[in-house]
Amino acid sequence: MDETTAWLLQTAQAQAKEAKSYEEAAFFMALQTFIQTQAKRLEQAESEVDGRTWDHERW
Amino acid sequence: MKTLVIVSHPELSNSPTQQFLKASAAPLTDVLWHHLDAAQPFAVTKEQAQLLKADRIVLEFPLYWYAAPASLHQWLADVWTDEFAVRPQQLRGKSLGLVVNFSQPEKAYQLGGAEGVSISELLAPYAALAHKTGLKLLAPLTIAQFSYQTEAQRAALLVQYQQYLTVDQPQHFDAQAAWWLQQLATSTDPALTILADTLQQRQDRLESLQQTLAELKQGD
Repeated sequence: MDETTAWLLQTAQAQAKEAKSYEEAAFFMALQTFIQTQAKRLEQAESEVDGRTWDHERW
Repeated sequence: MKTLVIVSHPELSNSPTQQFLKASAAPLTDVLWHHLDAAQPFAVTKEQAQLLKADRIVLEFPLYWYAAPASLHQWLADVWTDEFAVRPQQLRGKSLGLVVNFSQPEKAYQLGGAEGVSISELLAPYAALAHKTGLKLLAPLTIAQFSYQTEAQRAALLVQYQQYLTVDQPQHFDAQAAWWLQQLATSTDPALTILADTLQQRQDRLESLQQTLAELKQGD
């Protein structure tokens, strides 16, 4: 996991712990899933662009 | 967007699922949560007026013997008359959502599963209803075995339900991202402002990469 994703997750986790209501805690718990999904999609898109750019059969 | 949630449940106060959903919808402005069983016999003109005001209509119910409870059938029979919903299609262009809960695991509802039938098959009459009345059907939000869900699963459900009631295309990741950013934008906490900015930059980068990929694929 890259540093930024780890920091985003830690921040959301801390907010969930400090939340003053159930709804707020749930929001920050679910935000962690969103952060992970976004990071995964970003990684996959970067890999696919790299893969297609360096595919010599397409040059 | 104005959303009307039509809840069919004979014992609402005894349903932890419905109580959870009701509390999840409570902070949302422009969402009206309407319990059918408490509104019988139906004031047809009033019910129709509520439908006309909504941009999204959500039918919410547990599965009883593979179908909705009786109050939903009665409401459809009384309120969705031919003169109101078919000729003319007065609800045309609105979206129709379905929030359905059941006590078996999700995987039971598939061909060859314990129930031997899929949720899509069971909900097919609502797809026909949407087709006949000119509504845009959303993919259903299904809730399996609420009582066994973990805290993390319930947190995910709360957000998913709020998005289902308020986001134009709740299944699309881009639309979900916009929802998260919109929610975070209301905070004045500096840590959250940096978090929101970072998520926005990542989303912009993702959309730019997707654009590049679309262009690369076009060249294939």
